[in-house]
Amino acid sequence: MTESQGAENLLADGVPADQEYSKDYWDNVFEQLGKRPLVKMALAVLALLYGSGIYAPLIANDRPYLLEAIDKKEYSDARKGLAGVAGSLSELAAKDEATFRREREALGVETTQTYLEAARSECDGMILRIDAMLKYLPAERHGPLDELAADVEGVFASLEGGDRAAAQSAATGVVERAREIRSTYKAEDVQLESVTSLPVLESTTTTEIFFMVLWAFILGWPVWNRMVNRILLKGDRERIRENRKTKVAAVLGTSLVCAFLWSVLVGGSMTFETSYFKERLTNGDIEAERVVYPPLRMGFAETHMAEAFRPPTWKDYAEINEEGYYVRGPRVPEPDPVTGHIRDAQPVDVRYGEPETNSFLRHPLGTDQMGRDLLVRLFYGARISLAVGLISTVLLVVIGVVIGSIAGYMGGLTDILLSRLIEIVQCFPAFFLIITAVAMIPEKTLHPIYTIIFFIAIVRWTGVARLVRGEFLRLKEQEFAVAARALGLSTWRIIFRHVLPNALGPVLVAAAFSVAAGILTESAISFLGLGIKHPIPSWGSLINESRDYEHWWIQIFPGILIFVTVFCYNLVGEGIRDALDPRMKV
Amino acid sequence: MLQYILRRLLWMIPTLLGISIVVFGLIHLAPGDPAAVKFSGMASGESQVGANEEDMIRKFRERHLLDQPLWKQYVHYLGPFNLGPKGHSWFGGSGDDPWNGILVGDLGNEFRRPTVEIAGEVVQRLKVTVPLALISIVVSYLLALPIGIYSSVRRGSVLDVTSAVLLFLLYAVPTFWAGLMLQLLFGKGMWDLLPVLGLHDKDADDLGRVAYWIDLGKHLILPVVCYSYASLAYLSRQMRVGMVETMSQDYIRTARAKGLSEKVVVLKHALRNSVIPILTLLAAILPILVGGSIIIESVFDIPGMGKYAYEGLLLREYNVIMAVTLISALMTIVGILLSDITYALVDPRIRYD
Repeated sequence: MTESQGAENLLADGVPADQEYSKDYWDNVFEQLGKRPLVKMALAVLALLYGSGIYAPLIANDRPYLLEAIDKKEYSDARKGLAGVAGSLSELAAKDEATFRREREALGVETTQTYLEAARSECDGMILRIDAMLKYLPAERHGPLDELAADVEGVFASLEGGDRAAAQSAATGVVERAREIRSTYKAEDVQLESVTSLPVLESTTTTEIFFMVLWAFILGWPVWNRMVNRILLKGDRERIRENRKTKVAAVLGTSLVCAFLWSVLVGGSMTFETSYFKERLTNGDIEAERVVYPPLRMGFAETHMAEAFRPPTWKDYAEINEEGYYVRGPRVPEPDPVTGHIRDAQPVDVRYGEPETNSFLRHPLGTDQMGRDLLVRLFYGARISLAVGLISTVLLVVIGVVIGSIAGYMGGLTDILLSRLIEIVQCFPAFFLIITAVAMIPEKTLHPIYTIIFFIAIVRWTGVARLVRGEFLRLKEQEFAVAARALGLSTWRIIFRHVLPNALGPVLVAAAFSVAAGILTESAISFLGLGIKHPIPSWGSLINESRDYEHWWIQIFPGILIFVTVFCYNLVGEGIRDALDPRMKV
Repeated sequence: MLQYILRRLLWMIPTLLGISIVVFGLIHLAPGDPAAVKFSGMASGESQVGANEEDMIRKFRERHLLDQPLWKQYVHYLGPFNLGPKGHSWFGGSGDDPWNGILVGDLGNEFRRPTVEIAGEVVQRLKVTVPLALISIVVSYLLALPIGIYSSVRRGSVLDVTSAVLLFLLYAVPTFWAGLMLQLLFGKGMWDLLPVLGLHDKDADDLGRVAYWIDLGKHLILPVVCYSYASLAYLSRQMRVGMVETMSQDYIRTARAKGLSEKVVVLKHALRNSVIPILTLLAAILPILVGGSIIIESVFDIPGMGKYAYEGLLLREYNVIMAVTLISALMTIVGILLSDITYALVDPRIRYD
């Protein structure tokens, strides 16, 4: 299945199939893996699952991708506030420093603010409001506001220069001008222009950008790797092999550069002074000209209290009428047998851009006890669940490889001591110890995510260590290791550059299984209610939100994702094991 | 061999000590102590009560040496050493709260219910957990052996492939989720076939003897399924691999060449040699089942050891946590030791010196 690309007959990585070359260890492993469609599929599913976590903000968000709008509220608040702030600025200018201090003391305000600093903050208040107005004003109406800004700076300059008389008169001018602007610049009277912003992008963190770019590379790997191999490296095996590290470095480097560029260009800026876009769009504070929303238009922490525990909306009994009552099925409210009173319900709150109350797209997988959309939370939950498995595995592999290779290579007393350590740690009741740590260490000291990661690594490294030790015992007397020693290379170099690369195969297998185990452990702990709770959920903690059989959707869907992930990792582990050595059993 | 076992048994002492030090340090160093949990219910009230409460907390901490340095607490935990303030005599704590230390097998009392001895409570709980685990082990072996034998003999048959795929799928199912799904399917939500919580019905005491056991059995079905499916998947896989390997041995060919029937070859010659390594896996499964009890007992609301451990964690019952840790560590160690010994007994080529 790897060949037959027309006349050229290329292998999957863009190399002519008939080209003769000597395979190294990893060539063999990759070739074997390429022959296993199940493993490939599992890897693809995993890449998609991780992608859904990484791109969660792009898939599901209560912010729009693109918003072309006028924030009327912001504008008119700024306009109304202008005169007030100007007033207090002129009041301040009228006082001398001693009066200022006396008044502050009389008020009992404890502050270290000096006279000048107080003046500066008033001026900043003015400038802020002026800028907020300028944002929405057409260029021809900027004049008076620009002048006002200049005047404000003038007031401060004279105050700084100690010229209080000039400052006072300038401040009076500012007040007058501000009053005038307040009456002539009403939103109804001027033609406001909408401002374009990219709220989703603005709210993304640098780390998220890094992983988004990185993952784009990983998802596109089958395509670009092939192209690079064919066009840049001319399908030459030797060069492909030599350039493996360059490729990795280039991918990581590009992602880092992108993240850096983003943090310089966009980082921290917010065009609209809000994080509640939908609310402000719904109540008309923001008047939108153009809105482009992500496919799922709800935030992971956005609540719809009227829709608490609403079943998936494709179920017919999820239908809600206009007063907020269920229409069909077991959730139709029944009047109280004694008083005849029907439990109150709120009408469903349909916010800007959201699907209609009974649209099947509204909550495709139902909601939780606060009416948060389960599907959206699953996307965000992927981040925690998958990260815990992966990071804990990286940690435990590092610990295991270091200890195992030292024990295996050094032998003697070091080996005995380290082997005893391994034996002792193996006797730890692993799951209970991790649970204990999570239950005991409070969130303030160490976030449960890190507690779980850390303790999984601490109790589970022994398997890898034993594997590596065994491999080292086998490898260290082989010719290449003896030759390396004979060449007088340093011990560290022999261990990490010569022997270890040949011992990594089994470690890779163990790593795949331990990611699966890590995900299972985290989800079990979170399910017990001890682990990760908020604000971002994990799949396990989502299940913990209800154990009532009436809320089946909460229990079923996150579990399916855990299962699929673990299953894929098991497949990959099995696949690599078979690829390395069909007869090997770990 | 005897020497080897003795040495291994001796090694248990430093191992258990190490584990107890780690866990003891972990739970005592973490902020917040049982006094806070125990008296948190009385937090609100007048200043009079507040002062009273503070006094109680202070006395409580003093009695349990919670105000002492960590090493003193640990040594006190170990045994009857006179380290406390004047109230603590040689043989254990103050007069009304004797403490003999872990070295003489005293697991102490609960904080919340000071009259309850943890040792007694643990025995009560183990009476629930251990039979449950044993039943599950027996069930998974009883199913795994035939599946493994069949699929190794009929390699590549439809049944072999389907069972392999199914078991591989099962192996990836999270235990707690399996429990929840079983509850959904068999509980009131769908088929309403089996009770999904607890071990007995509310009116179990009024039932006759037979009805009582039937009731108990019904309650046990789902937890046992939940306990055993993962080990079933693991065991049957190992069994199949082992059998396949054995079947390719020379002596099997010899047996066939002698003209023995296939049944005799498989069930007598091959099975004997491949079943024993599977039995040694028992030792590896045992500690996993103990760990799994926390999850399963919490899902099915069974008052066993796992539930006790979970409650102990929530309430910061230091003694309970330590007791559970030591017991499960002991089980793990004994399990590993047993598996090593059985290996040696089974295969005389393995020598220990």
